[in-house]
Order: sequence, then C-alpha cells, then structure tokens
Amino acid sequence: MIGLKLKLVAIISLLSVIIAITHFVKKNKITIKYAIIWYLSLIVLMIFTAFPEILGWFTSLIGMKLSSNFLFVLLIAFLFIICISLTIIVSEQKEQIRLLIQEISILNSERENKNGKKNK
Amino acid sequence: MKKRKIVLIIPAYNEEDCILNTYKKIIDHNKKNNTNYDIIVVNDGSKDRTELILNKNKIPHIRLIQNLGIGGAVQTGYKYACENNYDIAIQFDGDGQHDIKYVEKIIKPIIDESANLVIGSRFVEKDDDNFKSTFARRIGINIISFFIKLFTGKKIYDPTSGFRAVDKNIIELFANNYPTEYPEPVSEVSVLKKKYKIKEVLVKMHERQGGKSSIHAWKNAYYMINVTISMFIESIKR
Repeated sequence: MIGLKLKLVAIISLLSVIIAITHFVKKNKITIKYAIIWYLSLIVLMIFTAFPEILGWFTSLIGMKLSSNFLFVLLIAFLFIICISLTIIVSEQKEQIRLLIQEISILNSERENKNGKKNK
Repeated sequence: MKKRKIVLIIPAYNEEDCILNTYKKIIDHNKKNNTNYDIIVVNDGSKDRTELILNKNKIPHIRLIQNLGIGGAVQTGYKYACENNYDIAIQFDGDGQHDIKYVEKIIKPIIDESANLVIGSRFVEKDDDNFKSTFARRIGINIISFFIKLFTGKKIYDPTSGFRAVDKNIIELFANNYPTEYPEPVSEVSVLKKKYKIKEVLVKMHERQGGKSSIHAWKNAYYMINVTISMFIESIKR
C-alpha cells in the first residue's frame, strides 16, 4: 500500500494536470471534444490513486499479479487511444485544408478571370 | 447529336519547360480538327516559372495556393469541370507524354455510352515500338493490375495511366471523392465498385519531355504498399 504522503503528491500532480487542461480549454487552446479524453484518463488515474483497493481488484480480475503492471498497461492503453484520436484529428484536418485550398484556388482564379475581362 | 462540353484537365507542377508546348499543340489540334476541347491547367503550387508562363500566354488555369500533390490537383480540375457543367473531362499530362490526337479515341466509348471511364492504355495489345516505361515499373503495374482483378474482378492492363476520360457521373464522383496520394488505380477500384464501366483503349505515349515523374525510384516500395492497401480499403467500402 502506498503511504499517505505519496498519495497526496500523486493526487496533487493529477489535479494540477486537470487544472492545466481546464485552463487551456478556457483559453480556447483545447476544444472540449479533445479535452474529454484527457479528463477521463486523469479521473480514472485519480480514483486508482485515492482507492488503491480498486486497482488491486481490477488487477486480480484480469489475472495479473502486480498492480504496477496493470497500471502500466492501463497507461499505455490511454496513450494509445490519445494517439489514435490525434491521428484521426490530423487526417480530418488535412482533408479540410485540402478542401479549403481547392475552393479558394478555384474562387481566386474565377475572380482573376473576371478582372482580366474588365480590364480589356 | 448535341454538342458536348469537353475539358482537358492538365495538372502541372514545375512544368515550365513543356506546358506552353502542350497548350499550343492542343490549340493547334482544335483548329485543324474543328474540335472544341477546353483546357484547364491546375498549377499545383509550382516553384518555377510555370505560373508566369500561364499568365503571359493567357492559358486558362487555376493556381493552387498550396501544393496539394497530384491527387488534390487533379481533383481541383474535376471540381472545376463539375461546377462548369462539362460533359466529359480528360486527364492530360502537361509534360508531353500524352498525345492530343488520341483524345478522340478515348472519348469515343463515352460518347457511345459504352463506358463511364476510359483509360488510355499502353498495354492493351501487343505493340512493341510504343513507349511502355521501365521494366521495374511494369512489374509494379502488373502487381497493381493483379490486385484490381482480385478486388473487383476486372482486368485493367494499365491502371496507372494518367491519360483518362470520364463522363458526367464520374466527374461528379471524383469532384467529391478522389484519392490524394496515388490516385489512378485507387479511383479505378472505386469506380468499378460503384458499378460504373471502365474501358481501355490503346494509345501511344511519348517519353516525358521535361519535368519529373511523380513516382520516384526510392519511394517505390512505399508506393506499392500504399496503393495496395488503399485499393483494398476502397474495395470493402460500402
């Protein structure tokens, strides 16, 4: 079992990450949609820190011996999910940017054509 | 028979050496044969004097404000064709590889309504003096051809040919949905999956007069993997 001091430090660290993310959301630097996945991961970690018994229960549930191993697996899973969602976001944005470039370029050339005709 | 609106989509990336030549040949052809092929050059953010040449010679063109790569550039042409209500759009290279005199041949199946997409193919029949690209690339083409047959049941002999004509249905399809990276084979799978018809007609191609192929030697392995996966995904799309 972890000591009270360690528990406090862990909870304060997790809390400060939550506060930091909330701060970014407030400043419009992270949209809620993408902040939610961070909140979810952080809250799960927070629960495990506050009540290590739950962590132990989950560990034995999936047949693992060490809680720390389970924690690592869980963290890697969170990072996986976050990475995959980042890939999705980047791909979506690439698509949107391509569309924008095409539309603007077509509009641009139409406008230039019109101007060219007026000047003649 | 009603007059069809026909446009040649010419993607150009750093084609200062031959774009004007290509344009003149088309205009010449139009005059001599009384054809009415419109032209739209899509300048894909060229870094050389391509834009200058296009402007100076009043060649109709769209200047992409950022480089999009061949797929994005050609798609811009299809969007233009769609917006301007063209009946037939033809993909045509700016580097002198394609010969304007074959355009009549490749749009014929579309006018007959026997195909929706026609590929100007180098390999349909045995013909030895035709420029058929390098040995390594032909192996690649055969592999792609094999996978298209596997995924769709249709044998396409020259799936990477960039010399293609499409009808109005396909213009609309491509304007809304066109693969970005290595578009030809993938778009053919998507056309076949939508139950449209593809035909190949034999054309002769020249070696490129200038510019670079969009397929570089060291990227070949990546190209094959990318195209194969893309075609597979396209074939399982609903």
